[in-house]
Amino acid sequence: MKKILFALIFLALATAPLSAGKTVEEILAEFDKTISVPSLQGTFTVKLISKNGDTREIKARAYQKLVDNKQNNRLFIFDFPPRVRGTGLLVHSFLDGRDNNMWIYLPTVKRVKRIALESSGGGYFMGSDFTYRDLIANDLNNMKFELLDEKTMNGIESYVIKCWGKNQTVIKDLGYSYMISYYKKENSVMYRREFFDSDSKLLKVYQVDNFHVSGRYHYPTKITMTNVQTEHKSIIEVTEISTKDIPERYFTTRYLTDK
Amino acid sequence: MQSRFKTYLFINLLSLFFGSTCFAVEHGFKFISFVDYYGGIEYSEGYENLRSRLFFRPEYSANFDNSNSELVISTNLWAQPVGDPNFIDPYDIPNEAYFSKKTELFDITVGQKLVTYGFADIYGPFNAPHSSHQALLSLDDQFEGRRPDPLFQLRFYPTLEDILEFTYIPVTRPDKEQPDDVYLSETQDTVIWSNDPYLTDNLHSFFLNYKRYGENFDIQLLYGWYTEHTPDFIVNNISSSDSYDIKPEYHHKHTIGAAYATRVGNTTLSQDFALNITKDFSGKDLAAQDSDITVNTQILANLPWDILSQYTIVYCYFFNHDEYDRQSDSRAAEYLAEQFHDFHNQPYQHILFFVGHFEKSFLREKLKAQLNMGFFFSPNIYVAPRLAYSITDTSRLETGIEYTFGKPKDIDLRRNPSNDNFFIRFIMQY
Repeated sequence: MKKILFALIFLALATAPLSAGKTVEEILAEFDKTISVPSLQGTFTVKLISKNGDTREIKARAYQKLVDNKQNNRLFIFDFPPRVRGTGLLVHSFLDGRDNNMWIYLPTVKRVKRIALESSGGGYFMGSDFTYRDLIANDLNNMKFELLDEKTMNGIESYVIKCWGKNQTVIKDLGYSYMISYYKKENSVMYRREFFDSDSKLLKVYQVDNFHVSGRYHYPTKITMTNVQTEHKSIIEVTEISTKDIPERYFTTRYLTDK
Repeated sequence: MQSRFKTYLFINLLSLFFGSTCFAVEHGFKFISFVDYYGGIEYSEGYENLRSRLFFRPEYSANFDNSNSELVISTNLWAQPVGDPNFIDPYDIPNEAYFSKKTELFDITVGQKLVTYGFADIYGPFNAPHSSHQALLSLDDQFEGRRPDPLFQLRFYPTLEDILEFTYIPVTRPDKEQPDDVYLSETQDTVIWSNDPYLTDNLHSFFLNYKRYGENFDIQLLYGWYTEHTPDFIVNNISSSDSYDIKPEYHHKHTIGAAYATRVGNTTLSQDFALNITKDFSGKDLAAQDSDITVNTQILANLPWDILSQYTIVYCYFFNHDEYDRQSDSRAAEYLAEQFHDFHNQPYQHILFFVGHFEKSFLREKLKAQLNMGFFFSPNIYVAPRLAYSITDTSRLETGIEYTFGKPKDIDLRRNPSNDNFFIRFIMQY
């Protein structure tokens, strides 16, 4: 149980804005505003569905708070499957270049352990279609963007933007040769992303099927990630969403062990 | 007057009853059960059935939201379904059972609970509270490790990052050693274990722990004055010709420690430093534990091919290691010293050993492979491969081997006489 247990939900919370727009920069900035909810909590259910229909499930509670324009705190408490029940992950993310701080609480050993996500074991997170690397926000300074097209997709007028790593090191680190993202023209909300493998073949599709809308904020509440090569699928559903302010003490090791 | 009192009492009882039902109580149930089997595969001794277990651990918890308090009760039960009938020691049936009350600045806990200190996952020198099972067949057996003690605990949170914790354990238990007395071949003495369920002659243990989880470093400081669960032994007569019973005796010990954990690049590093001061600081008693300085260094890193690895390096220095009194029979004294030094994990004045843990998942984490390796700067390299397969979200199959290269140590008092073994375990968890 040394491997970092991380929520798929993290992707929904942490996916870096990768688009451009009216100009690329404008789309990215607008998308960032739609997803930067000051306080957010919810219950996440992740269904992992294999090609033969075998289904597994992960359940977690998640809390997020933007402390200021330089810090974002997140807390995840896992409730299912039973072997990870009570496991907690606390993340203090810094948006000014400092390393993230992460602590994991493992109830079987009753210990809070400082970890680095990069030392999480890599690979697919808890058997899902998200890699551990997918869960880390991309540094936009390391990425290149290009507006490919403006088209209507499933009745939605969209900007289509390609992004890729600035150099081979970043590309290798990402695990994808490039990604193509779809942003709604009306509000710059990203609702689809396609991931291409090192041979530039389509590998995975990230699709948002539902949003929770509160004022200017659009938060994804149903996400499907499909690996088109293996036909494995992960479906995230978020319920009991609240945007009420969350006390600072939630994002401490005390709360990590208490909940 | 009497009537008014009755009315007052009635109203109070009513309000107590309805008040209590107004508490929002969140009930929680956990249940883990398994059946397992251990077989001995020590080459020099041939195959043998070592043990089997049918194990149950139910746990009930209640969270009283209105009063910020929590009640936890859990028990352990096991029986041996294969081979000679055997059952859990009745004193091991109660697992954790405690009540906690939380306020803005304080947590108070009363009951039987496990307490963990330090950052090291294995061989942590801060892990002084609680007795443990010492004669384990698997060193990582999570179901028969440390045993909780009755305690009173007060935690103070002066800031969001700092925790000051005081723990008082009124009475603790001796370590659980192998079931039979041990005959020492060269001196014809017999080592007798304690049958006492609790160490009532050695009451009172105190721990003071400070923790800080900061941006760049996590820090812990510890002071403990406590009953040591591993016994010293009384050897009044050192002789190769006469046989004696050697009995255990338990003493208090001081531990002073400091530890930190930090991120170094893409790895995490932690170090626990501890000074342990025993009753026999001068080292005169050959069967007593020596005082020591222990440093545990732990590195967590990700290797290529998504292999998670953790490295633990432990160094110990024992004060006055060979200063024991040899009396008139130096040969017998050296034999006994070798036995008890090995029992106390202090075979030399300096010891250094290394444990590596490697872990990789397959089949989308349904199959997990692990390898633990111990290198004790001797030919006896320890390897313990593990495989765990999740059949469903609530059931899994585990298997593993404990294997030490070379012959078992020629020490009468060694804790695991069966040495190499394998196990297979089927677990259900809700």
